[in-house]
This record gives sequence, C-alpha cells and structure tokens, in this order.
Amino acid sequence: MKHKELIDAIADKINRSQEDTENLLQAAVDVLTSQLLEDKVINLQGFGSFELKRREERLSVHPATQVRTLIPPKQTVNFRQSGVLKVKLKGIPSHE
Amino acid sequence: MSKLKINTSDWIDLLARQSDVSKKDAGDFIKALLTVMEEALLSGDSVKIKGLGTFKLQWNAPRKSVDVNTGEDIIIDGYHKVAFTPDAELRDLANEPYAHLEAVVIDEVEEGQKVKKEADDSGEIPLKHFDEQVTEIKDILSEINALNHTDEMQQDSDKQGTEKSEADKQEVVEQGIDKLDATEKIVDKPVDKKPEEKKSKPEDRKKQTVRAESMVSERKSSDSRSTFEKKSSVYGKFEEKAKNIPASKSRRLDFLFIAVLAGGLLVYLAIDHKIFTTISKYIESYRIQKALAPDFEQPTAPSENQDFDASQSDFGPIESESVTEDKSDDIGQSQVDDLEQLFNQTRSYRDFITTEEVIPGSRLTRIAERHYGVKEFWVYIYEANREILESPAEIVPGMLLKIPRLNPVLADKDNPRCIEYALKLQEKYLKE
Repeated sequence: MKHKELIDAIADKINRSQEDTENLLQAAVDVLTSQLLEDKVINLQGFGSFELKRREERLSVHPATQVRTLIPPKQTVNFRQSGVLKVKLKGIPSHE
Repeated sequence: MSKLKINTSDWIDLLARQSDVSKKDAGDFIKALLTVMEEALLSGDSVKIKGLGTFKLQWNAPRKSVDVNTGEDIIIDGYHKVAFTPDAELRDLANEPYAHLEAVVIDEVEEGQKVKKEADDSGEIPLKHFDEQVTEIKDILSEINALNHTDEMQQDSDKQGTEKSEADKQEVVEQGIDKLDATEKIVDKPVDKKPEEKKSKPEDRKKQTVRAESMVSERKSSDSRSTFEKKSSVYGKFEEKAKNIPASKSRRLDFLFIAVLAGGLLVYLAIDHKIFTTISKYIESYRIQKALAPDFEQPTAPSENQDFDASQSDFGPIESESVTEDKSDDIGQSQVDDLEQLFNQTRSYRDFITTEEVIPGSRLTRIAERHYGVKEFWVYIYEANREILESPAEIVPGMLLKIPRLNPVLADKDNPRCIEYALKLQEKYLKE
C-alpha cells in the first residue's frame, strides 16, 4: 500500500477530503518523529511501539578481500509489534 | 533509566494542538490510520508512509529450541511479524548524533593476522622449506660422520706408533701444567720426532693438546671460565702452527667446519645450564640438528665431564674458542645479555592478570594489545594457553584464555629488542 492509497483509505473512513487527510497524516507523522527524536518511546496500543535504539560499533570483514572495517555505532528507529497484533497475525496462513 | 513513554492519547493530543483540529477529529483520524494499516498488514500488504517508513510482514519460520525448565526439545511455531524500516529521511534524523562517524578500514590491523592468513593459505610452502632443510642437515651430518670415522682410523694408527712417546709426553705435560705455553711446546716436540706421521700431524697433535687440557681442566675445574680461556689460547697457537703445514690445509678446513658446528652445539648446551648468557645465531638450526641426531646431545656440560671420551674431547678446544669469542663480545653489552638470558629461560606462567572469554572478532593480538600495550606480545598469551590452543589461529569465541602477568623486563614495550624477540617467537609459532 502506497502513501496515496493509504490516504484514500483513511479519507473514506473518516469522511474527510483527501487534502485534509494528507495534512493530518503529515502532522501526525511530524509529531511522531519529533517525539521519537526526543528519545521518547511511542507506544500505540494494539499496534506496537517505536523507540530509538543504539546499534553498537562492530568489525566487519569483507568476505572476498578480507578487508576489515570498523563500522561506527548508529542509532536507528526500532519498531516492536504489540502482542495483540501478533495474535491477530497468526490468522494469516504462512506463505510457504 | 527508563525512557519517557507516550501513548496513543498523548499522540492524539499533540496532533490536535499542532494541526488545529478537535481532539475528537484527531482521535478519529489516528484510529482510522491504525485500523487501515492493520487491515492492510493482515491482508498481507505492506504499508508505506512518507516521512516515516515502511511496514512489512515478515515470516519467521518455526525453529527448534529447548525448554529451559524441562530440558525437552520444543518447536517454536512460525509466526508473522510486522517489520518496520525507517525511510532515509527518518533514518538520517535518528542517526544525527553519530552522523559524523565513518566506517574505518583497518588495514594496519595486525600484520600478525595477515601473516597468519598467508601461512594458512600456503600451508605447503613451509613444509617444502622444511624438507629442504632436512636433506641439507642430513648431508652435513653424513659428512661429519665420514670425517669422524677417518679421524678415528688415523688416530688408531697413530696410537700404535706413539704409545711410548705419549707416556713421556704426559709426564712432561703434568710438569708443565701451570704453564700452558710450555705444554704446547712439549706437546709439539714428540710429534716432530716422528717424520713418518706428517700427514696425520694435526690430529695427533690435537689429541695430545686436548689430553693436556683435560688434565688442566680437571685440576682447575673450580674455575672453568679461566680454563676455557687458556684452552683457547693454546688452541689459537695450535691453529697458527697448523697453517704452516700446507699438506694438511684442506683437512684442517674440514676439521674447522666440524669444530664450528660442534662448538655451536656445546655453547648451546652451556647456555642450557645458564653458565653463559650469550646466544649464537646458529642456535635455531642446531636445535633441528639436535632433534635429528640425538647422539650429539650430551646433557652434561664439558667442564663437568670428568671422563672425557675421545670424540668429545675432540670438540673441547674449539668449544672454548667460540666461548671466548662470545665472551669478548659480552663486555660491551652485559645489559643486553641479561635480556638474552631472560629470553632463553623457559617461561612458565603461574601468575595471571585475569581470565578472558574470547568474543567474536577477538584476536590474540588484540587481547595482547589491550593488556600489554603491544600486539607483538600475543605470543606469551599463546604460550600460556598452549593446552587449549593447538595453533595461534585456533582461537574461537567462548574460549577462556588466561592472561599471564609478564616480567616487565621481558615485555618492555619501549625496548625494540623485546619486540624483536616476540616477533621471532611469532615466526616460530606460525611455522608450527
């Protein structure tokens, strides 16, 4: 589902114009990211939580050239699904 | 320190304030957003939101595990998981505090490691070298054996002719024990009396010299060093005289060769007994030689050997010669030789700083650098852990390595000789 499709779907649900919905979505995302960058955990009930996590520095070795590289630490956005969502997802048959 | 938490209603409040809509509208919107996303995900679709990222379903296959309480094997069922990948914009924003850091290529990373790798790759080449060395050594040994054999034969034939004169000589020798110059002259005299033995002169004379010396050393065993010096002075004269006899020159060269070989070996033995602190460059090769020809190895140092047998006494004077040479070198570098002595001692590790568990990516060199400040000293960690490490490359995560406390003189990171020695050890271990 692309960004546009998502806006369409939401607009249908809340009976608002697509423009309004797009602005709202933009604002919602801005709020979410700004809170996230203040190092807060965003917990969305029934869906999951967002959190900033630090990935430690590590050594990587190029498999072919054996060149060793020190990868610096980084901070990434981590999403963790809620238990409720996980249970709901069990209903989907595995795609094997 | 737990992070501040924000839940859905906080989000709705903030959204309502920011975009000037009622809380109800904002709430409706957020709920709609979450429902739509959930529906899309449940239908197996992925959801992409601009400025945030992509949500995707990911199938985690069932896997085996063990029940920690009962110890039984259990199977964890496969399950779907919502995976979130932040888009480039958010990713960069999140990584702002570390953005200035760049990946560093570590190429000076421990040359030892690279050397190790090369050694691993070309495992056959050192073997080949070793083979060549073995044949070389075998050749040398067979030459020596052949020479020894002829020497003995000549000595036997000499013996018959000189038995009588030898008795005389010995008498005289005993009288002149304190004055070795005199001994030398006297030893020469009887030989000159016998012109028919010209060819075997060096050997004959030598034997007698040795005999005289062994007596001297027996009497003066309390001061073995000075004896050695005297012996060598005698030998030096003997050598000069030998040069005057052109017929035996080539044989002398051969003999010198054996003498130097044997001298080195005996010096090595002497070092073992910690009598002398100098080490000759040839020690390494003699070690191999020693291993191949165990009969050459006599555990007792010559000065302690009371009943000198013929073959050993042959080497006596030469040995003392090289020792004296080394000793003259010593005078200028007594401090250096303390180090040498330290290097040659067998190291035993009883005192340990700590025990370290090997983690992935960990190397002996890195551990050494951490504990001693110099990566070259990894050889000592390796030596201390020989019972668990078969080869330096065999280090695996989870291993418990003992980190020995090193003698600060031995592991002096500011002393180039210490590092040089560690590198020598490294070379040795990498060949193993």
